[in-house]
Amino acid sequence: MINTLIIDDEQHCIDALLKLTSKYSDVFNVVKTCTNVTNAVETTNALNPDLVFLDVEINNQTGFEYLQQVKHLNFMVVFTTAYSKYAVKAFKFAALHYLLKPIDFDDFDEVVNRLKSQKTTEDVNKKIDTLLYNLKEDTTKKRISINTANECVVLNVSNIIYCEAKVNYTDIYIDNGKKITSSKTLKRFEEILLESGFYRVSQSCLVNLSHVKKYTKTKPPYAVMSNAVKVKVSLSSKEGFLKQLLNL
Amino acid sequence: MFKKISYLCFLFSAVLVAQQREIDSLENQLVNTKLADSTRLNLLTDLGYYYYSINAKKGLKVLDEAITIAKNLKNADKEARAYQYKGHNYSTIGNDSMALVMYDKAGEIYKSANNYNKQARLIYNKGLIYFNKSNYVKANKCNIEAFEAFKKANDSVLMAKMLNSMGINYMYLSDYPSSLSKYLEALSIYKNLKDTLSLDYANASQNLAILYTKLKTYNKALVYHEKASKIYQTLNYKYGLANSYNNIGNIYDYLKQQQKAIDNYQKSYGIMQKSDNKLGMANALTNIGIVNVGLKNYNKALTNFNEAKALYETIGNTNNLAIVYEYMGESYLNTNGLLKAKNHYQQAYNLAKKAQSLSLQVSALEALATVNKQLKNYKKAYNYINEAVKLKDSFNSIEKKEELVRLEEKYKYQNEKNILENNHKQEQLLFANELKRQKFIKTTYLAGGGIILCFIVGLMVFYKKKRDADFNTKVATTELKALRAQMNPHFIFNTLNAINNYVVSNKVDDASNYLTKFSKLMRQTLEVSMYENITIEEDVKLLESYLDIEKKRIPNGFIYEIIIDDSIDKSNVLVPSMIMQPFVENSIWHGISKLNGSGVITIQIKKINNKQLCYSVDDNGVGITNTNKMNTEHTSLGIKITNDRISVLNKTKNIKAKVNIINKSLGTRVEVILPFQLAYLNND
Repeated sequence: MINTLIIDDEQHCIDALLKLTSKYSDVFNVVKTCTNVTNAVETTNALNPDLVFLDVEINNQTGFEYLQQVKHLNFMVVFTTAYSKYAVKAFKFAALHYLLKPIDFDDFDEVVNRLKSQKTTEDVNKKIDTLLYNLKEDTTKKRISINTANECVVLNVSNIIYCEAKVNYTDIYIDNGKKITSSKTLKRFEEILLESGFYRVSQSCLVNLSHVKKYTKTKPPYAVMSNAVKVKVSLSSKEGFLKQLLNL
Repeated sequence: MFKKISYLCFLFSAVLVAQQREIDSLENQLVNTKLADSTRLNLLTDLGYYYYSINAKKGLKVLDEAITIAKNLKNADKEARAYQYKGHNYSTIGNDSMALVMYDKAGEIYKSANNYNKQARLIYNKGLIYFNKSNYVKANKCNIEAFEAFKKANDSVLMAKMLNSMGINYMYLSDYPSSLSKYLEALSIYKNLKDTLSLDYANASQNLAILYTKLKTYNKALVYHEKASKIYQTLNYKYGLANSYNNIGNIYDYLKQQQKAIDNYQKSYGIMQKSDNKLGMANALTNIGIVNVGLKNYNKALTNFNEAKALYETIGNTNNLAIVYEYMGESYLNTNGLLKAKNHYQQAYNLAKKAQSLSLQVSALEALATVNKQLKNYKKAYNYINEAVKLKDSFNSIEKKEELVRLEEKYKYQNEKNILENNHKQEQLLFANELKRQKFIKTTYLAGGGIILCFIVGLMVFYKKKRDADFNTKVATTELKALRAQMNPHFIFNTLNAINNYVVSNKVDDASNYLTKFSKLMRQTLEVSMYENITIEEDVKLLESYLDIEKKRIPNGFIYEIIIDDSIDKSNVLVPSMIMQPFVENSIWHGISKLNGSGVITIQIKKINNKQLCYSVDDNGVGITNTNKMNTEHTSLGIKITNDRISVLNKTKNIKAKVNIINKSLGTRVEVILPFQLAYLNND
């Protein structure tokens, strides 16, 4: 059983969540519901929940403020939001769970399954740190949390050289010579990293533009990365890629 | 009609200005040199040369000794020169045949020594002899031959001399155009050589003046005479000066200033007499006689003519003799000596013919005609006048006069041109270069300017086109966005209506479930509406969401399946977002919803060929024909929007997408034919 805290400033949203969790009564034990940050922080410190359903906008405060104020970040978090592109992006960077309101039962079911398989709360710590770090720092020094088969890895975005699609996985090449493999598709990474100086040069490759050392006008053209790896550039991406390179 | 004796000056005569001083010094040296050596040979040769204008007989004697010494010393060159000088001396004393012999001897020696220049000089000397014998045709042949030789030797001074001589010969042959051209050619050579203060130039000027006199252009004639006489005076060249006086006298006579004319002739005679120049003396006397004829002093005239006749006969000058005879005839005619006159005219004609002078022949014939008329010998008179007219035509035609004017102009031009060419050759060259350079610069600038202009215009056109294209694309894109956005309200109202139905029928859970599905679809739709194209994967996901929602609304429900060709990479093939949604919606609501049994919707994506994609939806519904009118209107909104989207896409992307609606025996099939478009081109 997961001791669950629901934080949302709107009662009907809390009700909706209560209805959903009631469908998984063997999984969730809702210990309390809170409608403001102060109350939520106090409750969290007092009750040490295992899981928090956290609304992003709580009155005139945010769920992030709540996270900064609680003593111990030793619980799982599922963000809930109606529509906030900004927030969703932040969750994606941090690889945190989120549900969009109104919450679809199928989506909820998926989250439940993932929560059940989650092994440690250590990863959640890292991810929340990543989220808070990204919220503090400007966009150029972003961090990303990546779930691998065994652990969650937090990287500076600037350390990623390029990402390569491997069927349903993605290999991420880092500037320390290491490679990590994520279970997310390249499409996911593209969505996250496109606005952080990355460019999809082909169906299988997403490169960090600041790691491109050279561009060869051969047929087919290649981008030579900082680790001397040649990355093939698709003919349809060539033009946009060069444009992006020149804008650097 | 007056026939004047004019002095024609030969360049050869330039060397006639022998200085007695030089002869004296040479004679002194000769006395001191008794040995028959080369020194004495040189002295003798030089003396022989100088004597020919002073004492030709002494000259011949001296040159004979020179030839003997030269032969002994085997000095061929000096020997030839001595022969040549002997020729000059013989020429002076009027022994032309001996002169010719001497020149031929010299010529043979020069020929064997291959000395072309000296040979040419000899040819010219021979020409002079022929000239003096009034054989102008032969003389001219020699001149032309010599001219060609000098031309080869590139000796322009001697070329000019030859031209002058040729001018004289042509004048005597009454070929005035040729004569004028030769004189002017000669003068233009001198001018180019900047040799306009020399005797040569003076002589040529004088000869031209004589020609102008003949052409009755007296003003021009006087100008050239003045030029010539000034030079003669400066050079103290008496012979030339004498000629000038004579010729000026001629002009004054023509201008009816007889006394002035006689004064000039007498000045000339005086100078000629001092130098024992028989020809000069005879010429002066003839001219005085002619003036006297004009003044009707026939007896005085006849005295003058007789004196002149004797002199001409000794030197064998046929031409001038003919003139004298003609005037004597005229004098007798006017003093009633008709027969004497006739005889003299006849003699004049014969001599003129011998001298080949057309003008003299004409005047003689005309005179003969007059005499015969007076003798009442009309037939003869007629014949003579006829012959005269015929001859006259050959040299005095109007055309010839016109030709003269033309020639003169041509030579004036040539003269100026030559001066320009020679004096300013360098400037011209520089100028030409400068011109070339400027032309080049001009051309370069022009070409450059043209290219730049073309470039700018091209660029402007390009930018305008690009701007227009960009603008059109922008318009089209905006239009597409608007069209995509239009999907939502249409769908929204359909959905809201469905939710309302759930609420009305109190199906709370269904309503909630439906609503969450709907909001999820809304979210997805909003996301993709930003993009023109999405991958098949994404589009199919959207369709599934949509079909899941609709499935809940159809009372009898339906089955759907989505079949994608294995050859299609779902994540790399692009389609316009939600392009099929209105057709799917149509199939559900106007096809299978009307069925009693369960409907089947089949969505299929296939490659038609390598360039096209067929996105189709099949239903087993009632079909379009069975659908009532109201419903058709209702559904047409979504289809209309889709059709609009496709036509905008076709316009902006230059593609050929189209919609086929096929009525099947059971249900409807809608095919949307799209271009096969990859998100990432395969390079391999």
